[in-house]
Amino acid sequence: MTFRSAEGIRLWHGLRKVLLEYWHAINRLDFASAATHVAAAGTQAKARHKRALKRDTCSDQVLDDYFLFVTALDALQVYAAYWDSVVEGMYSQSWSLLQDLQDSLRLIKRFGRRPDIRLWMVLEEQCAGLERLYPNRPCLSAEMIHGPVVCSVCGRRMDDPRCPHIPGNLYRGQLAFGVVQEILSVPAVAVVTNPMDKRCGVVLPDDDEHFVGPGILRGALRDGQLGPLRFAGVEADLDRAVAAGSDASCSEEATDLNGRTGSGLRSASPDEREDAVRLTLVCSDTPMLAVEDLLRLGRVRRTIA
Amino acid sequence: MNSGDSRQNSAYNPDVDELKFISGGTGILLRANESARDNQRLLAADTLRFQKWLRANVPETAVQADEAPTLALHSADFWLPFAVLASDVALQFYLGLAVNYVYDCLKGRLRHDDHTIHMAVVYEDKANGLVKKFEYSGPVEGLEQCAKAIDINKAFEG
Repeated sequence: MTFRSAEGIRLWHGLRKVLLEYWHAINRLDFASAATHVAAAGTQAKARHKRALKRDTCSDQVLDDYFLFVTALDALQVYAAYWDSVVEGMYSQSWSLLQDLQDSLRLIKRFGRRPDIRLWMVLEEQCAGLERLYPNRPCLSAEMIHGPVVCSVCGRRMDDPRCPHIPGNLYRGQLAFGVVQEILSVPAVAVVTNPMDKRCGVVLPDDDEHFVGPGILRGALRDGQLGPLRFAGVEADLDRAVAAGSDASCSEEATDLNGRTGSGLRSASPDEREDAVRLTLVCSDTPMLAVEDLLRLGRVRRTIA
Repeated sequence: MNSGDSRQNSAYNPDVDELKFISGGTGILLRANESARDNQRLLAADTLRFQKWLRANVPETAVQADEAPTLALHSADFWLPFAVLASDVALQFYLGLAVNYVYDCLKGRLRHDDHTIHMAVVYEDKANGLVKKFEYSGPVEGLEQCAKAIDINKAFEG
């Protein structure tokens, strides 16, 4: 289980109908409706979490589970929004949403009771594959010199020994972080390959030629060759694919990096030259996520046939 | 040595404050580095979090940090502060703490996340009475290997 308290598990089980509708909506590519289903539940959960913090009668475990519950619903909502933005051809936005989804997954893995829940593992695997579809863009990292930092939980200066909160940890359902009081200077902005925030990059227009990967994904979704729940990974050499001006053209059997096989979509240069570059979306024959994976949140990983 | 990491363990000339701390102080001193650009003394990005983590996890070890502004670098790397160890703190112990700190921060990382650790620590090599500086830059696994080595000089073999 992701949740530690009986309250957390009860809340998730109470979402049965919502999760069923969500899963069916994702399956029929009705992403807006899928996001709406979980958004309403997320708003209620946030309000419940706020009330519980005010009342101060809940245990730490229950409050932490409220945080996880809201984060899990956020992840599902962003997952739907991600696929929606791909289908709509909003590739720059889809990159940001992919980062949002991964941020939620990191929190769930960090604070959830077990990291090997199938739902989160599949989403993590999909994120890794989806990231490979995007062009390598230079990312920017601002060097900032800042003064004292105040704790988001207790409001004291974080270097005050009376503040016990460590940034990045969860305290009664509240994530601790430092709030910078004053930025003294920004001496430089560096171009880095591995930024803290991958959203801080050069923003490309959605019709930029470097978005060949997401374009292929979009085509496969729109043609009904691939559904989000069957996306299993990518085999790609994007630099060469861009150079060859490839596009999605036909489907074939493919084996992904984990040895799974399934039908794949490959792209090749139009004239099928010898050095034609293939971009393969690995597609599982069966959905990577079954509805019970969403409902139970308690299954360990199983081998995908 | 792992591919992709860099380690250095060399003699170091401590300043007066550092020498006083090494010989007469206790615990760990987290120092501000002098910026190459304008000689301003700045704390490394992870100083505050690391200091709080040390206070929470090894309360018996005294930890103090310089009063200075922080240089926040928004890369996915860890920039641990330049540390000076008093004679009551062994290098191996400190490296073990650094590894545990990084692993604690990395709880929840995704499998495709990639992080590099940058750190430097000054300590007294009691075998020959020299003050040395150990520097490391690379993945956490390499630092863990250094922390496990009984003799730090063996971390540079092979």
